[in-house]
Amino acid sequence: MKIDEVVARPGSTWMNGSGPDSDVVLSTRIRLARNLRGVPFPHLLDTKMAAEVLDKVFTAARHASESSRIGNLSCFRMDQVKPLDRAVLVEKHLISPQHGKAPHGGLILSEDETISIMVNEEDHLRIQGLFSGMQLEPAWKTVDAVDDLLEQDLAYAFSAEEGYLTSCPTNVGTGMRASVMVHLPALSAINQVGQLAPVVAKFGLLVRGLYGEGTEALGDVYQISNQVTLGVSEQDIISKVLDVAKQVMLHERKAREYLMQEQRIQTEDKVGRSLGLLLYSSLLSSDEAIAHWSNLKLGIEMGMIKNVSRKQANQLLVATRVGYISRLSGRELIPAQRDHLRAETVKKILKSEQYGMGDKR
Amino acid sequence: MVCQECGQRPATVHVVRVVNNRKSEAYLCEQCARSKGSMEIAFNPLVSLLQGFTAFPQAEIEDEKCALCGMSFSDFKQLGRMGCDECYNTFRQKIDPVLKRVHGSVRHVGKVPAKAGAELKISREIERLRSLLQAAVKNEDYERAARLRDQIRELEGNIE
Repeated sequence: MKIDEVVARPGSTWMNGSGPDSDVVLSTRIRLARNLRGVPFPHLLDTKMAAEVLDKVFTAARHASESSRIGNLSCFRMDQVKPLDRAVLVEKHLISPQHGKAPHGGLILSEDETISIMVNEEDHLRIQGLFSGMQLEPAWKTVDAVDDLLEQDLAYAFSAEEGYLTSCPTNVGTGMRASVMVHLPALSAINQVGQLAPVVAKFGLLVRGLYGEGTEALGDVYQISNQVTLGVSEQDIISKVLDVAKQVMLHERKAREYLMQEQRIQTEDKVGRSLGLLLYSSLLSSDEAIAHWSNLKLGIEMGMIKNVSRKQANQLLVATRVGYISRLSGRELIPAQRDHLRAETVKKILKSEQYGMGDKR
Repeated sequence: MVCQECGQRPATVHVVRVVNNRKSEAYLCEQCARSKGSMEIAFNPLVSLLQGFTAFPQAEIEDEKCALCGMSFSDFKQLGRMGCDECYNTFRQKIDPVLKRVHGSVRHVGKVPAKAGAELKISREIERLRSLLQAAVKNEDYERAARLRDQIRELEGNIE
């Protein structure tokens, strides 16, 4: 697999909208932080040692690749990935924005992009499983298996007391972060989202916007994840995130029912205007695109838009981002050029199948 | 303190690098640190937590350095990052209260890696045998000491 292929397609498996509870949950992500024993953490590595770590991990990944359990893994050196391509990898959630700036960063990717492993980011390894919809268990099984396979070749830093040892002490223990990305347009429409964070915090979990740490979440997309990693088992973490996410799903669905019964015309109006804008505008800014995307997705889930699929809508999440658009043109663009290309891209994706408003009356 | 690079702006970033087990330090301003690509500068909530910690006896902290990577505990307080796995061993006494504060616990209960876990068991057994060996030598029970020594060698062979 070539990195060009990965960045050229806006859809990853996590965006195909096929997983359970995809009406609310966009994706599930589990990542494990792992380090090599007796080797300084990446922030202290000189170039030579960092290169050795990269070699070791790539070799282990190639061996793991031979196992039928996880399929083929491709290894990429970050210094050979162009900056425009790197931005798309960030937008596809395959790497973190920080990754690739340190010497000898690496990325290991499965064919369907559900497994991605960052090498020499904050920790020597960050093993990530990214799945569509609510799939905490499958995601855990996958990263657990990848972890086991890699450990056959690698000596991990582990102690009986603190568990897996990590660069930042906030990750020791399981080294696990489990998060679900939820879309909450109805709760947002009735101004109930603000009450979410304190409730989620009571369970020791964290809620934040998808793009940036600020309280305002673009596109009404939020991430719910665990903070504590020590003194809790992987199963504890999964059940907790699952329990809270279920509650959030329940409330979002109730809010959608409420909109359907009490504010149907207003909601249809909002959804229809957004679809019109996405289909017919010629200049579309990134904030505008994501705001209307949110209404579009709500319209699809409430049965108001019939001929745009969930998969198409989810693809727009990546296809409207600055990095993806810039890469499409192959160069840095001025904002107006970018907005034009964005509008064209959105049209193309939406028109890839039939489109139109459903008539439910 | 003034930035060691530009000599103009105040130094706000402490850069610690370990190259071939040699530690070098620099006090830079944010701009120079960034342009040198020395490190990611991001707000790190842990650092503010650590700096708010008053429980550390100051004098003692400065001296102790990790034998593997050369980081001291005060480096850790600045960076909010440990230097290597050995740091957790070296600074256990000091890091435990931090872990307790962050996680509410200091004891791992999750997954144990197959290989590292097995090796951990063996190295614990070696430690146990070593203390028995010392006792045997002390008691001039050389026959027992020789047996223990052989057992230890065999176990050590399993790890390497």
